[in-house]
Amino acid sequence: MSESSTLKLRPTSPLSVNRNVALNSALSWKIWLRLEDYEESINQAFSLQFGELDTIDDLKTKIFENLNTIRWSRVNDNASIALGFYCNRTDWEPDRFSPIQRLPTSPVNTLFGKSKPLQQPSAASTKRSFADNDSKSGSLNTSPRISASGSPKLSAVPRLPTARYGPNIGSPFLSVQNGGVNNNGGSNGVGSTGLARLPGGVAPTLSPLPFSGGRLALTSWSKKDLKHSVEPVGDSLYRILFEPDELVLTIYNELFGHLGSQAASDALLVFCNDIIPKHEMLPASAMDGPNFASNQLTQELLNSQNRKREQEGLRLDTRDPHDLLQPGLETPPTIGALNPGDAPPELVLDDTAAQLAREESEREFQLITNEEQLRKVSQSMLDEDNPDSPKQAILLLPKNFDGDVNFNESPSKMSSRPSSPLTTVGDTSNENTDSNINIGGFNGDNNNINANINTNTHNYKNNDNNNNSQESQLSMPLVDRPRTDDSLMQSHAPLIEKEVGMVHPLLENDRKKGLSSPTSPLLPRNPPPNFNRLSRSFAPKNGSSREKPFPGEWSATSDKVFPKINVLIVEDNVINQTILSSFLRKHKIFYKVAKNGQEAIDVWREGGIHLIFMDLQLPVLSGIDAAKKIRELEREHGIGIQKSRKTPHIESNKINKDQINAPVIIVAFTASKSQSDKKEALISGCNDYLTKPVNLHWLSNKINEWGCMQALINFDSWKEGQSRMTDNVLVKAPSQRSVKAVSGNPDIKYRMNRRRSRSSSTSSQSKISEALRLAP
Amino acid sequence: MMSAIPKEIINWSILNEIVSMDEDDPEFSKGLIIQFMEQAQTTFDKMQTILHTTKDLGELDSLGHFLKGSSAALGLQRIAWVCERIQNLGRKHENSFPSSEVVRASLFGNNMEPSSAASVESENMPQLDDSVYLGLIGEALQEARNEFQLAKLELSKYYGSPL
Repeated sequence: MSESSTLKLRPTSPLSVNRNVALNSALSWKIWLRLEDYEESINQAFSLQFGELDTIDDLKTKIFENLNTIRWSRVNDNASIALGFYCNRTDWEPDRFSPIQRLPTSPVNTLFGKSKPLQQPSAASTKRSFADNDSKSGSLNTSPRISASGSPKLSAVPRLPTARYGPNIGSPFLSVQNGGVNNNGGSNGVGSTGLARLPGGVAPTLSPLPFSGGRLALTSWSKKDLKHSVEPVGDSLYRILFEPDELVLTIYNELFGHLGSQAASDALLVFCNDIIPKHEMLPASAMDGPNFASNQLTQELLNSQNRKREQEGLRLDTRDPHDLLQPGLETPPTIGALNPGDAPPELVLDDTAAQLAREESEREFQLITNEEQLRKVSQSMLDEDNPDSPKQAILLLPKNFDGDVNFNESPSKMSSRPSSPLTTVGDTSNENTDSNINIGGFNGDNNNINANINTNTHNYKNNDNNNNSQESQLSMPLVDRPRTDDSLMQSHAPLIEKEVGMVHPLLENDRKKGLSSPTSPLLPRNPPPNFNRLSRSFAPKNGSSREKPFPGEWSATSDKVFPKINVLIVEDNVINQTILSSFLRKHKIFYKVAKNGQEAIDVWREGGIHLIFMDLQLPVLSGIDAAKKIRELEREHGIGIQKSRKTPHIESNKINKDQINAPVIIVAFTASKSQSDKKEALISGCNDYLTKPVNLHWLSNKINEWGCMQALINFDSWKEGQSRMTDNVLVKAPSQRSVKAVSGNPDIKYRMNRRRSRSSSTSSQSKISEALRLAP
Repeated sequence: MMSAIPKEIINWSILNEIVSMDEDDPEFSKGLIIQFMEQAQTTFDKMQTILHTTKDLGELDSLGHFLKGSSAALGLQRIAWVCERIQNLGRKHENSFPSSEVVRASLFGNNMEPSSAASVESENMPQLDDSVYLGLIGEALQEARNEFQLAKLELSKYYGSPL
């Protein structure tokens, strides 16, 4: 959200500014960089040369050029990465460099600047959630959140984003969440570690995490005059991210001194904006606690009830707890109404689950499962008449959306796209400001998003584990309570259609190819590499059911969809045959191949061919002659509008009339320059022509045009084909139960009756009538 | 009327379409090229044989057409161009073939009008003796083989291995 809080940190003392630029020409100007948290390859620091005028953005471009062989570069782009380093909280204590001059580079900043008192610089300027907790409501931080809800402070400042979230506490889970959280209240203590490198207070919990090394010793860096933003990673750790327009040279000078003095171990980190906060990655064992089990139970109850109700998987993150505290919206009454008997039998209350449940309770999402809820929520957002406020984001998830998908994908949606409503909650106009976009994904609150996403995903996994036996589940948690500190839901905006985006992982690829709409607000530009790791580390115990949520390749849907037709390729050259047939096979079009005109006629005679691609110069019988012959046969048999004038007597002129209900379309392949070829082809009965060498793009156009034409001409039989398929589906489920199910649905019954009267297949007919008899 | 000789050996906009199908089958385009190489060699040999034995212009015409089809489909446009010449010579639609120097020079962009003096519109083109066409086809065949070698070099470079 928020803010790409661009802080201009004024040096408190001129002495602290270290500007010894050694323009030693012998040293190449290079800067060491390392991908933060990238695990797919050996992640070593690498150096890049830079020029005097290079900005961070230029450097990013170079990074992509440099790393163009690895997957990382394909899933990221300039806007999704940021350069910076980790910094201990003590290095960045707000009071050490107050006054902070806030640059109103983004409307968000301005907005918050107005709405928030500046006497609390940390909260006001950077939106660091933990800082907010500390400074605003210490009780929030140190006590379970549920109690925080009652905190008078919260109600006193309802317009403050952080405060707004407090009331969410309606949920019982919230009581659990802070019990064992290490980050809770830790900020005060950790701040005292005062280490430039990774703070000791965090180190133990962070130890299994993939980032190590490359941290900068920057005790006084905060005094530097660098455009940057700060994002909390843990209570005591911050990520310092440089603004894209900051000069690399300046950064280098400020951080490392003269050129050449940076060691590889001091590499600047390249973050991608889907980084998951480290403290969320704690091993489950670290958080085991008996109190979690009960919470898990509650969660499971909720889920089970949820499952009953859900027709659509709509996930919504709550914006305003006040508004959302209403019946039907995952609030305590709902929970209270739950009957323990509703708990699914597969309920598992293991430690991991408990921990996951606890984490889940920190999420900022809310699951909406039916239209009623959606209406209420959107209404509540409409009521919230705040034009300046960032917009509410809603993820539309497909029905029966598998939890795993969310786990892998939807979180990334939120975190990876700075311009998506979720990530730019703080700023509706953010999309236009490039500099903001570039860094926005990394700014302050984003971290919170990540954190919450993380917990979110844990929970999905958790549910999955418990729901192995369920075929189609929407095992999303019912309640997503914002964290008390959270700024994610700072503001509200009317729910408008534009903001409802379909989320799918593989759209990613399409986006990259420019196939899918770039305007869709929720489409992430980059899939997060981190989620791979995440999914691995939380892989389900049974190992099954981790299938792709959507069968088939998503990208296939954006390909041209061809009509279901049968194509005959008439081509004597095996090379051209191969090219054409490979093309058709690739597009899943049925085809046959004939080597010459006579074969073409023979194949056509068998029926079922809708479209012929005919080379004209063929051995045995030319394409022209073959086309003439085919038209002649069609005429003889009265196919199409040319009514039969004479009955065929010659045996060789027999055709399979049952299979030929419409004239075949013949597309001739003509030599490019021969006008006479084209004329002759059309005269001989060809409908169209393509010049050789055949352009595959045009070929597919012709298939589409003529194929659709044929599908229209032949609509009835095409429809028959479809219904025959339906018959198969119906008769394949002859069990009593499915019959009941079918007969219970008047629609299906009706269709089945119709089918009975129309179906030519006697066997399926009898089966259907049998099925109907069995039905009560 | 003879079309100008294409300068580029390979029309990449065409070949790339084929190469793009490698997505599904990694060796697809390479296999196709190798298949074409064999086909071309066989066809050249057949032409050679006809030139020395039956001297059947019609047969040469269809062989020229045949190889033109596949070479053009693969974007090997200079081979296709020569094949078209063979085809037209076989049909007696053309009665000239540019000298080897002219063909060479076209590679470097010096696209001299190929022996414009000799190229006449096919309608009022004098029908020459078969032996003239056979002789020209013989020349063209030699050029076709040369072009074949050039294309082979180019493609070997592209695939990074001798084809």
